[in-house]
Amino acid sequence: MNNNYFGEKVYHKKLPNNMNVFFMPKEGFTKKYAVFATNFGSNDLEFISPHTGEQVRVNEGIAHFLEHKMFEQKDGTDAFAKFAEIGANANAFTNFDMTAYLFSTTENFYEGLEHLISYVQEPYFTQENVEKEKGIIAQEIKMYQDSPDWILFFNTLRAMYVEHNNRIDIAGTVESITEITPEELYTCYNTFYSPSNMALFVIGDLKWEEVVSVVEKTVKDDNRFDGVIHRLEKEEPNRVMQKEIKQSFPISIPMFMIGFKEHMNGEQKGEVLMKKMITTEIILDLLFRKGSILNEELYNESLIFSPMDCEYNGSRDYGYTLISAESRQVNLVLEKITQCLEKFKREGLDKQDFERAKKSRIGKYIRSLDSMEGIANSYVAYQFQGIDLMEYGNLLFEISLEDCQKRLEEHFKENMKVVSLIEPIEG
Amino acid sequence: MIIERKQIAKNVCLTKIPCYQFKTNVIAVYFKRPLCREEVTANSLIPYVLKSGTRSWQTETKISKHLQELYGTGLGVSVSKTGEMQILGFKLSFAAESFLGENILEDVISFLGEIILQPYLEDGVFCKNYVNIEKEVLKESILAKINDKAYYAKERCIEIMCKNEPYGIAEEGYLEDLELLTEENLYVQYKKMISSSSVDILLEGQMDFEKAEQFIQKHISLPEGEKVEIKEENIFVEPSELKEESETMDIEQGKLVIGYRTGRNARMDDYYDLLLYSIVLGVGAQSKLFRIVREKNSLCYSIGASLERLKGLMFIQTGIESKNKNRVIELIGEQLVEMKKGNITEEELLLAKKMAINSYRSTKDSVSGLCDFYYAQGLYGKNLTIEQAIEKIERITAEDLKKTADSIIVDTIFFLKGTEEDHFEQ
Repeated sequence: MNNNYFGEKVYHKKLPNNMNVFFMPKEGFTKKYAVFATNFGSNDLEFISPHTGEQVRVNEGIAHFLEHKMFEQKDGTDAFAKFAEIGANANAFTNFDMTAYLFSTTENFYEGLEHLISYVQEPYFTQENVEKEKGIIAQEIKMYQDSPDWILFFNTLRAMYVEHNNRIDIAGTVESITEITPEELYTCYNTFYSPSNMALFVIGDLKWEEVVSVVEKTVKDDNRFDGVIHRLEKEEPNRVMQKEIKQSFPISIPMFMIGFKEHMNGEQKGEVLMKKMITTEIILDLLFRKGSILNEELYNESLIFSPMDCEYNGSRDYGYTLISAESRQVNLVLEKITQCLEKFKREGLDKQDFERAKKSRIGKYIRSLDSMEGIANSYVAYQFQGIDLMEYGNLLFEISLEDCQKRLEEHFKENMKVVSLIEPIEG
Repeated sequence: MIIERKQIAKNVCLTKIPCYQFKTNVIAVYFKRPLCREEVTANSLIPYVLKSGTRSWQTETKISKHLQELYGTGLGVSVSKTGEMQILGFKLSFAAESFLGENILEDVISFLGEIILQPYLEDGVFCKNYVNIEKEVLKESILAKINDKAYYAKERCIEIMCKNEPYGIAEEGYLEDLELLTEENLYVQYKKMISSSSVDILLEGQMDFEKAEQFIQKHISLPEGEKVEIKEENIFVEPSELKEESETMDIEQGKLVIGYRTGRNARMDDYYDLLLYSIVLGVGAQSKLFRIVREKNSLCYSIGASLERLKGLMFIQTGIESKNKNRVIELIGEQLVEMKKGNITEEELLLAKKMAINSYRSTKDSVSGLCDFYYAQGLYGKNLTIEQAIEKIERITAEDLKKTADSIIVDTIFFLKGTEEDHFEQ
């Protein structure tokens, strides 16, 4: 076996129209899965058209709106129908950085693959079908607004970011989506749904040559351009918007989320970004997750009732760590978290704990290779950030205790910290 | 893939699921209890006290570190309500040894044996401190039901619908019963649980199954007591009248839940008719409800039908603007009438079959899905393979669905009303 790839291999081809195609063989699996994604998410609201050179500003929530409307077909049917016909299961999602269209099936895979590529390459937006969608998306936005976890998360982002579009809800607002027009959707489509800005990932018990041949005969060259799309962003200062943000909501117990905002020096990508991700995750393992001294202390004193949720999200132009939990004594928990960070900065991380965390991460990574959807979606998301997910094992081995210690001192800083709180009110 | 199922002790059945595509192995142990008010709260607590400490690993931190040493082996404990049973589960997921260059199989199985059979004790009973901590955790969890609004609305619907039946018992138990639990009485219940439950052990993945079985005999040898009786669910409850209730909460969107009696369940041969009925009506973008309520009338984002497979209940759930409640109930009602009239096209039936079949086939590629499928088959007393389930689905006709529709009766409508209109008035 080569290096630390655990028996996995990813094939890659860049097509003449600039689109990247990836394939991972999965022998013995029944299901096949494909995800077709564009590097276009809710954060992309202002850009220069690669075709006209014009500067464009679009309404908040447009990437997600476009995702909904992609399913509309010229003949009046929706793209789900064809998938259902061949027995496939299809869906789509939008996040801050990308929009992805996907399907899985146990039969007729290539028919599905042709359909996936075709429908995403055939937009059909009309006044009528755009209007119809507004009521549906308004209900989707309201569904999220009723989720305390979502409120807690977005408030954290709003406290961290001053100018960055991370402040804005992925689906936009009920007000902003009412402004969206078919013309605006086409402008975004022609820019971001160019093969130059897209990637396809296929996984399953299939042949690479067959995958490539189906893709090549189906894919269109419309809207292709060379180079990358110039996205216009206001410069985000290396400080937080506000230290604390509070809201009341009908819940049973107070919730908190701490955010540590990444100190940016230009864009981050590739191995540099991946190392940031891995070192941060290891720090979170050692300080806050199950098995840590702080977790034991908080749990045994009934200050928290389940381990704190911790994660690091990183992308080209932003990064942040989130630590959240529910507690009846939020202030005390916050204080203990601060003390814990200070202690480890002062006394250093423990070598033995560090090695154990790495060992544990390897086993978990091996297990994650069993999830087709998980690998495919992560691979594409990472690829847009210039990262090769298959290198995870190798990078993990390379990371040293010193790397983590340095990261701990640089990233977890008081002046880049925000706290989001939700306090219970009676229903 | 050949599934082997056998009795390995008086109350214990072992299922071996060999599969070679995965890099993950699973061992799961499930204890089956009758769902009853006397036991429900204690049973909800027991697995969590057990995962707090064992004889060799006295604290949860020591347990976590041990699991990290076993290459990040994941321990999951669970308590769930399935039909009128309460199922206590202990599950370990671990990386296949061929990628590790180290044998961990016996360590993994003996660890699971410790969790179940060698709890950390003080004075011959559970550790008081651990019990108190876990009581607080369970208390918060019971109180936290209102946090997930859609879940809360469904729980309320079930509570109203099955008020006088075991299924109406709350999954996690009751605060007033929790207060009465001590390290002594909980330990008594634990002893009863390990000796009188019918137990399933499932092994899945690529491993030396012979050895694994020996390790189970050696490390997970349960006391053999008299098996507790579990009554089958009564699924023929005729609602005397339509029950309607609502509550108001300061939220943006109303959550509607409608509960139905279906007159059949997964123990019966025609269960798959009901499954297909629910798909045609309310699962996925091709379903009647999605097309009419969402696509045609733009009244919701999500709408779906789901089944309680053993109690034979169906629920339709959606999130809507509160002022549209009556309109939505009317539209849903119309679609049920369509089903009753047999207005189901060949295409609808075919698409529903394909969806169900694809979903069953896909189960083969999911580590947890496969394990859950075979466990559920045991629970239903069916022991079907995935292929046999698919064959049953293929044979279903539109006439079968029409027949199914005849036994579906609406029982309860629960509405969690939002206050969104009030905001507009301000």
